[in-house]
Amino acid sequence: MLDLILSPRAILIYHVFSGFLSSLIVLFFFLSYLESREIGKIFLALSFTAFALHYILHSIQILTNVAGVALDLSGRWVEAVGLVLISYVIVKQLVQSETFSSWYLIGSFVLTSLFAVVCFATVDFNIPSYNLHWTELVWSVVQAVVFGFLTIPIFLSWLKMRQAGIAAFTVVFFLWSFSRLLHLINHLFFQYKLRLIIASEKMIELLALFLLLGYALHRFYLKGEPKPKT
Amino acid sequence: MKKKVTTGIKELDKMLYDGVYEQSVTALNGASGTGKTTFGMQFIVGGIKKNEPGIIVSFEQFPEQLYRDASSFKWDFRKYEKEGKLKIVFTSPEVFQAELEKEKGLIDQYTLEIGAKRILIDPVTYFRYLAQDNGSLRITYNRLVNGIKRCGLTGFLTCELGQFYGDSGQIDEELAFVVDNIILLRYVEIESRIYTALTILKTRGSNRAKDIRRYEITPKGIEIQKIFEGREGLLTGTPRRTFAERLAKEFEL
Ligand SMILES: Nc1ncnc2c1ncn2[C@@H]1O[C@H](COP(=O)(O)OP(=O)(O)O)[C@@H](O)[C@H]1O
Ligand SMILES: [Mg+2]
Repeated sequence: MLDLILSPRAILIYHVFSGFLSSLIVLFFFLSYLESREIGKIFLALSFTAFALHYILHSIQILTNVAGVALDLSGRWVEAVGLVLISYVIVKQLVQSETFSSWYLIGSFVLTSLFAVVCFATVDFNIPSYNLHWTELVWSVVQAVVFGFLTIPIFLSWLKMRQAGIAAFTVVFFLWSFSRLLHLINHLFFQYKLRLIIASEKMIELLALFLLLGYALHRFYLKGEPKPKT
Repeated sequence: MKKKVTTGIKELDKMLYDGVYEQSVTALNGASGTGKTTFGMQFIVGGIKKNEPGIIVSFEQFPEQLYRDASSFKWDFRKYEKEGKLKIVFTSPEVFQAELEKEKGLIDQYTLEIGAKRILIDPVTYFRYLAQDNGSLRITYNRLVNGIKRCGLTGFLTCELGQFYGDSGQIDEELAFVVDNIILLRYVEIESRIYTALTILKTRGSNRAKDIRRYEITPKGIEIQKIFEGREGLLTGTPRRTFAERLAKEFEL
């Protein structure tokens, strides 16, 4: 089973498929923007565009079978842009909020800055002799922390509003954070050799995307229904 | 300890921790069309249903309109009047004010006549126009409130607010000073729709719910609904979304 999931072909399919799912979500966010004109949705659409691009770059990397520094780096950078965009949407709301305490704001700011610094650091130090181990390590820490951090305000909002959208994203952010944490554990303690973890990471990420797609389809199905008169 | 009586609106009674005190006076503040007269009529009807006759003092020019408005809620005021449960007085603010200054005026007279327990005066705003200054206005309001209490009545006074919405509804300070309870009715704009919201600003000697609740005028009378979820700054008339609501909007597909 593990052999099957982790075969190069399966990994390639996984990346292509994830890219495809992300693109679909971009489409849904864009349609939703056209309807509501909430500017945040454009940022979310762009963010998922970045994630989709990241998966595509990864697929190319696997297809061409080159451990190219440039491809790997651009993949990470694109993903970073996605991460920043999605954080921006939430942090912007936090800034405008009067109900959330300022420590949270400061926390977001410090983490985002740290994140930016780390991004620059990885580039500066690694281009000459690209250190995959180090980059991978920092990368998973940052992602796990950022996604974990983003889960909290979304979850709190869900507690207040009980809407399906924030419920879905709470789970998705949690899953993403969790998969990065698995990645990190695998990296630190098992020198990235525990195949079960690698497989579960990928499955968890895919599950998150499927969940989002399920939510999107459900929403659009509901919109198609004639609305009850209010 | 004084008894509490129903306002005629179940949800409002709950918000007031079981209604208003007997012989208390409540000011209903709101812009035109927010439903002050309807609230007041429902208060009177609530009393009639409990065998507490009521008096309505109306300064509106057209008596027919009050009967018609009442009948649209299936309250048959003419029947109540025939049964001696209701006395409607159509008068001018000038006459009424002069009556207040008498030893045994209009209120005393009608209270005796039907054994009234409740009174609605709709609207008291005219006294402001009659008064020379805030001092004499306060004296008029004082006479009014004392007159109501002396007769052993529980009173509702409606007070027309000038602006429809805008910065937190400016209520009549002279009136606020002399009444026991203050209820504020407001228009609230949310996403290009006007809603009506109610909040209790003051209850002398009693606890109260501090929420801002939605209400609607339905053919059955006033219907108080839930609080406005996910909104802040309702009393400004143009509420903002809360953080949770904004995030929910952004992430909604
Ligand atoms: N039977 C009814 N059903 C629903 N709404 C009604 C009914 N009768 C009156 N209304 C509404 O009540 C409002 C007027 O209420 P009213 O008590 O006269 O307000 P106010 O005294 O504050 O000016 C109007 O906006 C009208 O649409
Ligand atoms: Mg009126």
